[in-house]
Amino acid sequence: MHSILIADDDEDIRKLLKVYLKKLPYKIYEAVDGKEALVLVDKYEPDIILLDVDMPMFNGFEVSRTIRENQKFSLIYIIFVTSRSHSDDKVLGFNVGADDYITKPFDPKELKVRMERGIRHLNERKNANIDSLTGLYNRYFFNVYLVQIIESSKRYKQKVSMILIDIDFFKKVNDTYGHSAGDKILVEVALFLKGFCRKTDIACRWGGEEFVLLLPNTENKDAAKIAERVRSEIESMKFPVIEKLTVSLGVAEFQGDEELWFQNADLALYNAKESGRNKVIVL
Amino acid sequence: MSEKIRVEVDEELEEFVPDYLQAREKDYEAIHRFVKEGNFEQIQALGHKMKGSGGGYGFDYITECGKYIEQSAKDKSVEDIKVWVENLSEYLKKLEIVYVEMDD
Repeated sequence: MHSILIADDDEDIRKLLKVYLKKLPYKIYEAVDGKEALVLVDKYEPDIILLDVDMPMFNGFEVSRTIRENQKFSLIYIIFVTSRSHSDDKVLGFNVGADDYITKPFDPKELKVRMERGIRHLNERKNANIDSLTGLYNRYFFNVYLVQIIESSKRYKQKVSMILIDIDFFKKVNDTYGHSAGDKILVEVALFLKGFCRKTDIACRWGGEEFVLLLPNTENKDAAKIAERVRSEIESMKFPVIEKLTVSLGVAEFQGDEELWFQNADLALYNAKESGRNKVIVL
Repeated sequence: MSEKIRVEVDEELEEFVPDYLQAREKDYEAIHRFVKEGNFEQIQALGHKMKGSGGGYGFDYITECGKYIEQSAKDKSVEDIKVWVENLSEYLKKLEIVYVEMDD
């Protein structure tokens, strides 16, 4: 089910939108001002936002700009629903990250087709950025997000670390129990990682049985502790078909050179594998 | 003028329309109060809201009144505000609503 955030200070408009949206299978959240809208975006990461412009606290343009500053929210489809019909406002709306712009009073039929269009675009975005098997972000998304995280870490002089995770003896699982069993295990690991991540972290499927956690504002020693928790929690989990599973993890902190960072994480993972698996190695 | 103004409204909005119209009557009173206080900012905000919501509920004329009230407040034209707020009041008195099934 898709989730929608209606952000409008006018209760009459929120009621109206809910009447027309209730026919469709959406989970609806409501915000009465720009500040609450940002809180709810952070909390629920809605798929679509119907965003008014003139609201207390932060106006819709500020809300949209703030959302778009975070790559993590780049998949959200933002539709301005506003009484501002001047082309300057529309241009500004699109410049601060809107995907669509509807002027009030709106026609319910127009709202419906634009929502349907939004859902189509949203699905295309998800297909391009999310791994279809595990539901984690894919490598493409990771690479785009990485640029933002590196820039941010340089600007604010914050540490950023990554953890590469590889499932031990995964080939044996596939060979022994078949790829369907292997897929189930990948999904279980992904679900665990997704739930494990802090708000600011992201978990991606790196490819095959490899995953990566990107940890902004986290130095090596803290990333090592997080990696150890991942290792021990996965070791204690019960998995379908094979019951028990272990992972090897390589941890590295960004030191100013992106390529070296990846090489270090990769080498750490390699060392974890070579030294017996089910281990965390930090470089 | 005593003739009714017949407006067809989506039957799905029937539950909400009485409250909506009652709120506009309150807006009428509030605007008069704000005029006395010289609070054009609040008048502009109320006009802006009417402009945005009226047509959505099926009342295009409320949107029109809202548009002019908003603009008049921006211009700080008390005379124009009074004209449009009276137009709104007259419209509300004459309204006859028929709830109909609208096409999806």
